[in-house]
Amino acid sequence: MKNITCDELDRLLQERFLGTLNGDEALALQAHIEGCASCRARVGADDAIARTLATMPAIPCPPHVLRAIKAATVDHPTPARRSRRLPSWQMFGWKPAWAGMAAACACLALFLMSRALRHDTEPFDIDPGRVEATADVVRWSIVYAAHTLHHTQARVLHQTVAGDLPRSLHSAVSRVPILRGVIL
Amino acid sequence: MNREQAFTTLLEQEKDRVYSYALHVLHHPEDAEDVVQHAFIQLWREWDHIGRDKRKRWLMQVLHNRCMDSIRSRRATGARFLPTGQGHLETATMTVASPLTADARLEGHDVRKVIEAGMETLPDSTRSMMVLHYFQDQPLDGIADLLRVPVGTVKAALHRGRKKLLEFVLATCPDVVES
Repeated sequence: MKNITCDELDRLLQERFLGTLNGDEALALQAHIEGCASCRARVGADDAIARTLATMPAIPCPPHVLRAIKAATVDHPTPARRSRRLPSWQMFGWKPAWAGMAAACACLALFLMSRALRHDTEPFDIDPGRVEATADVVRWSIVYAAHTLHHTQARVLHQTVAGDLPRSLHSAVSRVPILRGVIL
Repeated sequence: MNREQAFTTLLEQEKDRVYSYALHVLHHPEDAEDVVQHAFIQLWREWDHIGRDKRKRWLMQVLHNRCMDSIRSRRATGARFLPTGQGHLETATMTVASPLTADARLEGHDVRKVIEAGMETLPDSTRSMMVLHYFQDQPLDGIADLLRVPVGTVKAALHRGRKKLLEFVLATCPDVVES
């Protein structure tokens, strides 16, 4: 019979736990723990833990949890879903669709603005009323998109237009005070 | 047996096992109640899409995932688990007849309480494997299948968990072996 050392105890306990301890090793383990008080204590504690863990009773589910589950399920049955796959246009729900539309409005308004203010050198002869109206569209589109997506306005801008704001548009926007406060 | 009856039967069969698992993993009764409710409600919604023989496994998978989500969100919000000895598990087990309590009491120590405290010191994944293996009698390959990890990982985690638990118990009440 092979003699084992205290250092091998953990490995043998693992083998024993997995049920892969062979006869010789089992005898060697038994012989060792009979002669070694610390390993005997360790094996005893290991057994006590396993015994206690295995006999721990299930904790009863509180009745109010059961009532809540039944109330949400069998007491108010809902028809089963017919299809697990949604059409692509429904995949992300309505909120992002509205936010996307708002962002698209912002893009369009900025594009129109850039067309109107394309020539930096030309005199600034655009109708201020129209600029202000367009700026309002941009502003409210961004506010709406930010609110719907729970993002900051800066993040919405970054994700939609500001990230790729063309230089000409940038300079054009910077010339309109009402837009400068919103965008730049 | 219609859908409602089948669901009610499964609910009655699994409720205690599922709640025990959630409570042992989360150590927080309110969170455990939440994840149990959500798991059963999700099962009800997906009932027709899950094979009859896969429903229990599916329920445990959803429960486990929700437990891990709950732990992650608690960490993210900085919320802390109830500290050991606050009585969340003791209170829950108090109502159950306890055959070990009388003979396992050692100079003021209750082995079960010490082990529960030791379980709380284990990493989340190890603790969930320990609970599945010891409390729920799941075989190693069943745990591996449920948690989608290799069997070797389960073996290693259980060994580590058991060793750590042993060291905790020996450090907390060295006379446990006398029981």
